[in-house]
Amino acid sequence: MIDILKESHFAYLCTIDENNQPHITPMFFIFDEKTKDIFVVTSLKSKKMKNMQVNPQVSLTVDVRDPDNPFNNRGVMVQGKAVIEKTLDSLSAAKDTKLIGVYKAFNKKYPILSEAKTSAQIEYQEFSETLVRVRADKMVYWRGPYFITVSFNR
Amino acid sequence: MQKWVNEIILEKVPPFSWVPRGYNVALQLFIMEIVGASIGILFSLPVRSILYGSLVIFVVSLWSFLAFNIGSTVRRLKPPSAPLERNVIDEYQKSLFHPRRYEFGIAALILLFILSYLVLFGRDLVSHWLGGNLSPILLLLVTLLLWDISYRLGLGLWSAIIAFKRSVNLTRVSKKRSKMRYTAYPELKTLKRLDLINLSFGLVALLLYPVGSTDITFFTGLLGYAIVILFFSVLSFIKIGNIPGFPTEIIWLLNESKFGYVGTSDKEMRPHLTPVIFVFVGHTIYFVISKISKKLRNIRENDKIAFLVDMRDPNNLYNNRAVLFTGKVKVYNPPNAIFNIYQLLKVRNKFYKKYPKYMRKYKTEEEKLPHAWRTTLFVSRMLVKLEVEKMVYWREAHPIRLPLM
Repeated sequence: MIDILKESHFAYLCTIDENNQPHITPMFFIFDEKTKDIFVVTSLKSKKMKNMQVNPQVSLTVDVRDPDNPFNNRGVMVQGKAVIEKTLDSLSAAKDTKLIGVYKAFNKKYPILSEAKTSAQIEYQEFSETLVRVRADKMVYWRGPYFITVSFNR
Repeated sequence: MQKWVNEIILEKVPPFSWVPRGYNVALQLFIMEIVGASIGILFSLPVRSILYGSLVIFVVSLWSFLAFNIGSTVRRLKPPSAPLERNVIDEYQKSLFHPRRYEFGIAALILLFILSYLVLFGRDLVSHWLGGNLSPILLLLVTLLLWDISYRLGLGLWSAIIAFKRSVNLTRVSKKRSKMRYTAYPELKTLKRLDLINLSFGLVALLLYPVGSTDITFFTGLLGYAIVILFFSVLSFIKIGNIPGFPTEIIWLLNESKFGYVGTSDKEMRPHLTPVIFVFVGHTIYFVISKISKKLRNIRENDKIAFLVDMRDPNNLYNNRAVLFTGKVKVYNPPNAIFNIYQLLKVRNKFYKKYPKYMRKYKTEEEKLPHAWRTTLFVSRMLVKLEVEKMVYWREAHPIRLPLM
């Protein structure tokens, strides 16, 4: 389960708007093994951010697919609450070492992001890219037809 | 747009024009039946002849009614927003109501054929119809009725052939859509309904069977006509059902991508997100979920869902495409599955085509599967369909909002 979260590059984030209409987006993410939190980066203006501000309950799925054999499909679904942290621009000013660590981990995992950032610096500021922490209440792991559920008491 | 001659007669010529629209066919039936019966009595024809005449008049009126339905429906078709598709529908309307009135040509040929057959071989049949009374006035009236039949046979045949051509062309241009920009044509359902009306137009011909029951050629002709119409209408209907409702780039993504992500939520507005395998028909997405799954419980509480299909490029993370559909879902249960059996078979076929390996695995390892994962429909799995209401497409991490309707 931890392996999937550490090694996969894509996560799918499901949020709900005020009318209980779900919304899904593919995301880059970082898994913090110590706290079991997951971090994603999104724009303050995006639909999912607006949804999370209204309803912090989110669901995030990471999976490994096997197009040949359904019994090899594995994945983790995390259900939890989104905590909107700081915008990327204010990170260094805030001197929050933990969050800066997360941000660095992002750049390490997705080198392409930091490249894109330099070329599109202005765009980044304009969209106020923001770090979001997903605190898991429950994780469901599956492999083929078998499921394991892990709950967290926070 | 032009109108058919029988429409013009019923709408413009008194007394039919005096009654409100929709009643003029009934009035036509009524008047013709009265006139037919009076003539029968006047010439002291046998009861059999009057019954035959009444049946023919009834069938002719039924055809008029169907023709009215086809005519007004086709004239009311909204034009598709995609230019190529607009041309097809435009051509369909123009050919159906062509100023040269091709249906007359077909009708004249049919009448010529029937008359020469009757003159050459059908004297017995004619005297059977008229009880031996071959007065020229009666023969003229028979010819008039035969013309009424021929005209409608021609109309039905023309309508079915033109509809078939329109479906073939729509399918052809659907492959030439622009990569990104396409608005689904909401009138596809109307076109399917038109095919069904055409089909019933053909089947109505079989009602004339008693009139020619003594003559095998007559019967073969009716049957042949019904079969030809059946053939064109059914093919046309199937073709329309297979036209995809998305721009080509999305169609490509949906075909290539094996997994979709279903986002549901329960009453407490807690989201739930899991991958599924899926197929699409038109602009409806189909997927199968376990009967004991949380998804199914969520859908029963809230039928609004999100469905995401994406394509990852392992070499370039930024080269990621995704399409998000939102809309309402419907879960098939046994009664409505029976009504949609044709659609279900098509969906099943698509699953086998898209996931041959999965389907084989599910079959061979059925025994090992836990109950909830068995594939038997309705026992452990439910088929769900998503009618797409909105879609958003991302390419290289930039969202592009696409209109759907």
